[in-house]
Amino acid sequence: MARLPELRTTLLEHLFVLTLLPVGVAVLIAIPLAVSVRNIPVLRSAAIAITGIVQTIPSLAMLAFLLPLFGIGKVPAVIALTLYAILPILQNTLAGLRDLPPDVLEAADGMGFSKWQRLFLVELSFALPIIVSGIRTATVICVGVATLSTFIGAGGLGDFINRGLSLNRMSLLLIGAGAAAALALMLDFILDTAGLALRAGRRPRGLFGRFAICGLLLASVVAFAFVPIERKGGAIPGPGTGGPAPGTVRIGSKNFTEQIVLGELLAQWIEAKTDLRTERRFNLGGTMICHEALTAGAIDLYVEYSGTALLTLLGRELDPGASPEDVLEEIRAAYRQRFDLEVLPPLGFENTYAVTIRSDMAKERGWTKISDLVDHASELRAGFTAEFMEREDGLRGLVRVYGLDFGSLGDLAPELMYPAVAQGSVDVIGAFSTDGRILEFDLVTLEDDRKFFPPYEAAPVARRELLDRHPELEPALRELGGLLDGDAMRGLNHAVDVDKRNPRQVVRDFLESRLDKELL
Amino acid sequence: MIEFTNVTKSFPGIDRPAVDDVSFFIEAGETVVLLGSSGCGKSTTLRLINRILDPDAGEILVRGKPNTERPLLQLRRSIGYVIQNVGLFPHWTIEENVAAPLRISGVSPAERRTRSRRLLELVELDPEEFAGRYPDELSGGQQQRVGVARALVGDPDILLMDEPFGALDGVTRESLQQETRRLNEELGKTILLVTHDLFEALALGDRIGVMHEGRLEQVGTKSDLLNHPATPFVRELFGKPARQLELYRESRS
Repeated sequence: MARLPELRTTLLEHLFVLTLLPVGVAVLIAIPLAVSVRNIPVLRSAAIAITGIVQTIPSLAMLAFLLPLFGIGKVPAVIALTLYAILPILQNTLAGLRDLPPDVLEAADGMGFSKWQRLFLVELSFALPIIVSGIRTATVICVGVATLSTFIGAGGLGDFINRGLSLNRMSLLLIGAGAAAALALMLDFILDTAGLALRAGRRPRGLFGRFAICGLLLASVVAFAFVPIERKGGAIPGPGTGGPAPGTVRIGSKNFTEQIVLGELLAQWIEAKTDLRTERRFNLGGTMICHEALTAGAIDLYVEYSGTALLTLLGRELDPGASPEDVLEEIRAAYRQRFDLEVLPPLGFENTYAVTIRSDMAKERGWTKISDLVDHASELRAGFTAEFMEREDGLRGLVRVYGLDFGSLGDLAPELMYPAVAQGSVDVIGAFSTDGRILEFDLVTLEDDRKFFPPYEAAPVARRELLDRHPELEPALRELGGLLDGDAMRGLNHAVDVDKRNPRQVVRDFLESRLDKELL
Repeated sequence: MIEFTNVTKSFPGIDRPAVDDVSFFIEAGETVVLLGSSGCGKSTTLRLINRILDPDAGEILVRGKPNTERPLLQLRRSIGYVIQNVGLFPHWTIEENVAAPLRISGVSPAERRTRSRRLLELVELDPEEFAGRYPDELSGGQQQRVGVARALVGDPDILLMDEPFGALDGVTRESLQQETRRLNEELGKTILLVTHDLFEALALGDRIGVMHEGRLEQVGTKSDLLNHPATPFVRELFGKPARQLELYRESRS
């Protein structure tokens, strides 16, 4: 199976770096913390309350909070996972210590146990099975939450899940989710057995059988880790981690097909035109994370869209009279001044939001532009991505400018939006204009006749410092300007999304045909 | 062996001292029982000896020296301590529980095993049957026997017993009382025992100290207390059940 080497890397990463390491650090924090606050009710409650609050922070929000401090990669992921692992261990340690009857402590004191003898021989050893069950809870939480750390490029089995989602590959999704579930079950079983074995009193029945199963599980992990597997090419690179090697350009991408294709394009172009090496840190979890990663220096380069940069990242408003060139100039100046980033010449296509319906409906009703919907909006069911619902250049502005009032509205994941409208579950979606599935599902986009949507020209954004360090890079990247028109981009997206081809291969074929034309 | 001089102890938030200007002594090999109702300060007095608590004023001599002069842990390890709810370590076997005082003093495992088994025999628990069990598998009376064995295993010359039989049913209590008397005749320890049970005090104490509201009303032998009560409280306590006492003593002799 071609995925095996990759599965091994991500599984071991998931187990050791994203689960055992944070749980280990959490143990070293939570147990001493519990011990030092156990007899001080105020601090005890405070410790539980604070770690409890940390626990309620949604995982993605936690990763976003850590982004400005620790950038992307394994460090912020391990920190976030450690924070999540502390609470169950702290709570169980405190509960275990409190379960010990006060007479027992008095007897120990009266006998002349020193403070440390009492703590280790009596209190902690009594609480141990309960502490182990807290560690078990923390471990299972970590295995689950760790699948999200792929969004900040920390690796692990989430890479499979994220790629499965962004490239619409069910098999990848199942491999990642299945391996994570198996890992969680295995660790749960082993730690449950440890807890049973540590319990005082008669050993529960079947314990030796459980030991045998644990041994088999551990042996199979070791075997999986060390048995050689022949590596075959063709894997889609996940967001790599680790520091940059000198002469290496780290290329980022957001987590949808077009972005991965564009990341590939930048990487292969740089490899072809310069002697620099490239590192692919694709599939980062969205616009904010890519931007933060770039400004924090965790990546060097990625492709952004001019309208998104203007409205979402710079927080400015669109001047209705502005041309695409004006917008580009505005963000170029602001990026230089505020972030020391260079906006390079646009690639030649726009990926705008497009109000999209089924083509048979468009024909039947004679609808060609967004204004045509206004009088019938109350009969229509609309489905949009969560991001579109919230963005000022999304639904809110659309409603304000056109006066649209849809009969029903629902959040849809991007990969579900296209089949949903094609099958008639909804009537209107906010598609991406370059998505290959618009053609595939026989959909049409309606004209933005009031010029509401800003231009979304795709342009590489690079760290100024990188361009200065490698003077050959900027001219190479400038050559990319105008290379891809809308039809070409749709074709590449279609090849990946619909024909299920490998993005690396798709880009390689595209560049080869381009270079052939150049030679002709 | 133990001597209290004008010892006072108060707890924060309570006006009346828990122990109010108490002075008495215990001779080597003697058993003194502190008798009083709950809250009279008898347990507090006992805990001042092994410094579970420290007094606000006054001095406590143990073996002729102020008990603050010896390092705290050494002092405690030289005194056997038995409490009402026993306080066995629930996750240790009976043998490990009995050997606990030896373990913290660094006695070798082999010697711990021999000595704890000998002590189990002394309190009439068959080591073969009980050594490997856990506390929750034992009855209350058996648990307290283990508690006594644990207090004696380090061979201390002083034994403090805080309501040791208070949580047991009448029959078990009586048999353990008899056994304590037997043990003491064999071992000759200096014992301070605290109880609210008049009969227990009469059965075990060479001398009895009566406590009431923090004050030590009188210390004396049974006949001193019965025949020459020093305060109205003592007279009241020993006067009313005098007839019952006679019957009780007759039944025992």
